[in-house]
Amino acid sequence: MITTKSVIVAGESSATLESQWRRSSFVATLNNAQTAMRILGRSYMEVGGVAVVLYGLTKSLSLTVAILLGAAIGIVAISALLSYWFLKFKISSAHIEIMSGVFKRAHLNIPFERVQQLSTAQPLYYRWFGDFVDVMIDTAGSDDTEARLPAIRQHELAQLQQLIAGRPHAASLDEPYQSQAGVDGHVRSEENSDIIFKQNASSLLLYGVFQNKLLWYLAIAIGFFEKFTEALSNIKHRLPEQSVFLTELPMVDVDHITGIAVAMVFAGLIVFLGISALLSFMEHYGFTLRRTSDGYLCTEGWLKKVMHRAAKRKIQGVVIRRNLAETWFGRQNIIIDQFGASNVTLPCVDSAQITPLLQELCPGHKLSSVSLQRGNFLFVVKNWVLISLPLCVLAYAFANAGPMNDDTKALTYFTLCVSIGLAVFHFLRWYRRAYAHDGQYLYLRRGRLVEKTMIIDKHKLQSASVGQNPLMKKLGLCTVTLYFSTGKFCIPYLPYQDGLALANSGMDAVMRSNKQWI
Amino acid sequence: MLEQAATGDVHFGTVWPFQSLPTKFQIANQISIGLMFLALWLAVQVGLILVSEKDTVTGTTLLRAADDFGVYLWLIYTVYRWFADGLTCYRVNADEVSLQKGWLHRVHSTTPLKRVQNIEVVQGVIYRPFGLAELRVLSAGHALKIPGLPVKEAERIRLEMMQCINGEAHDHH
Repeated sequence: MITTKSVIVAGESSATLESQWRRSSFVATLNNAQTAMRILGRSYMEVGGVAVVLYGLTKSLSLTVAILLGAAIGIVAISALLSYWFLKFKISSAHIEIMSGVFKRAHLNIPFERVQQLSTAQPLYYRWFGDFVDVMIDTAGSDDTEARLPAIRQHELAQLQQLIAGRPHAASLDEPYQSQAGVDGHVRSEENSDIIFKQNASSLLLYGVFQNKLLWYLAIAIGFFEKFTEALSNIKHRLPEQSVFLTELPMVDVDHITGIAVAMVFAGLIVFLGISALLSFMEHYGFTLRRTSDGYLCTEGWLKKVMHRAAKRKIQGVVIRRNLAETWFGRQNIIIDQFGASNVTLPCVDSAQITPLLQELCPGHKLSSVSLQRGNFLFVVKNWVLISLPLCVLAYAFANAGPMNDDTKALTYFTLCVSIGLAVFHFLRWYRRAYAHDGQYLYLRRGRLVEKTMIIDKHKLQSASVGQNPLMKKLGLCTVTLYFSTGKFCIPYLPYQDGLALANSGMDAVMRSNKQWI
Repeated sequence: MLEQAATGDVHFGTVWPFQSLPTKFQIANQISIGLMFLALWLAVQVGLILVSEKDTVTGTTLLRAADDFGVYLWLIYTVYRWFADGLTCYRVNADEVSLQKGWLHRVHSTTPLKRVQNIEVVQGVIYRPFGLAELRVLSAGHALKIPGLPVKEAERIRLEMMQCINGEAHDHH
């Protein structure tokens, strides 16, 4: 239990904190277990290898699965308990100390002056056991979350926020809430901020439909269609003559297995889309973006309530992302790109909402009026000649190497498909990649199937390079690469003078500007 | 102290007085290329011995091709790198640090001092007997590396850049 002392000094309230080393609530083991399961899920290659070895030893699928399941449950449970037991923290008036780690012990000491922002996440199961939250602490020097406090109570979070906000150099945090606000004071301070964007349920469902990996599903369905029809055919042959299946569906001719398979694939597609939409809805439920004194605050989620912050000084740029389906339906997603913190995504924004939002995030931008320029088409020709053409020649060589058998045919078609695929890939890359700039902003577009347009303030540029090979020099072209803290952007085969103008204008903006990039 | 850039000077596209690197840098690189190809050649010889024991046709063919053509590849790459390293040059002033490198594909990179986060002087095993070091200028998202500088020169540039950066930081506050 954390005890606090409040001292009123000249109208301000500040708190000093006395705390012993303590563990978070036992509820944290649930979140630790979830994290352990996620790590196990990502290690599917290693798990697959172990499964193969086990099956080789036991020669029994059911025993292998039972052993793997038992081992997984054991690992998750032990890992969750150990993570809970070995994490302790202590909050004092000036800093927070965290000791963690089972085999590799770490002792972290974070002075409050270094804390730049606190983000919270609240999974559904936390709410069943009381009002707990996970707190992620971001500091100035860290690329990612510096520390995490699992399962602390809301009022303890509020006290921590008050302590941090009361420190002299923590200028980038939200204003401290009033001490009389009570347990849910931090929530009340969010409610006082301006709401600039709120997403409705139907748009969130649409977002889930647009973001699903439909192409993967179709690729797998097409790839395994023949095996699927074979399996259905085997089931048909094993069914007795008077089976319930046959009598229940008299209209279905069981000889038309292909038709049944196609129908089942489409039914699966609808279920797949439905699940995607539902998961998206639960992940982004109640999405709200608020303006705060130092940036923006985003709250969302039903299964797991999450609060993200986007501090204005950490925002490096804004990305407008949309795939083909979103383009057809006039929707896009806005991503607030941050350095040293997770990005904030505004999902499924429609055409009416995007203009005021972009003006809010990038005041004075001229994306709708600038003309984006592409590089020279020679970029595509070069890749076709150097990559796709040799592959076509290789396919021709395979086809004429000897008598055409199944292996040779497969190799020929595979090489041809790769060649055509790469040719299309390079064309799309050139087609999408474009740029423009005005006095303040750079407008950069890229992507193949998913289009991403970035609006970046020029003074955020970190470095630039201009490159030329002999062919480019002869044709008056160059390649410009712009480096930002969140990544790099390469524009190939620009006219040389335009490339110089772009790179020089970026550098001039950095030199002239008195603004810090972060 | 680092010199100030003249008023109206641009960062790219002007014939700047760049500083070239000492010939020792080219020699050091030739040695490291030679050692790398030697290691690859030894790996191919070991592979040939192992593959001949297993009598696989494809493996033997590929490794023999690598053995035969490897020498020509080494010669071509060595000549190319000698000329390319000879054309590597740099410039440091109070505003920015620039590097030009490459022969067939020439690249001019620039990082403004305002964006420099850290400066390192690194001496590898091959550079040490020649008294050379690599100066790494780190910004958020990019590292500009000036190779083959004499160690004292690299340290001097590093100190002067830090003085410029700290001076600017002080003015800003």
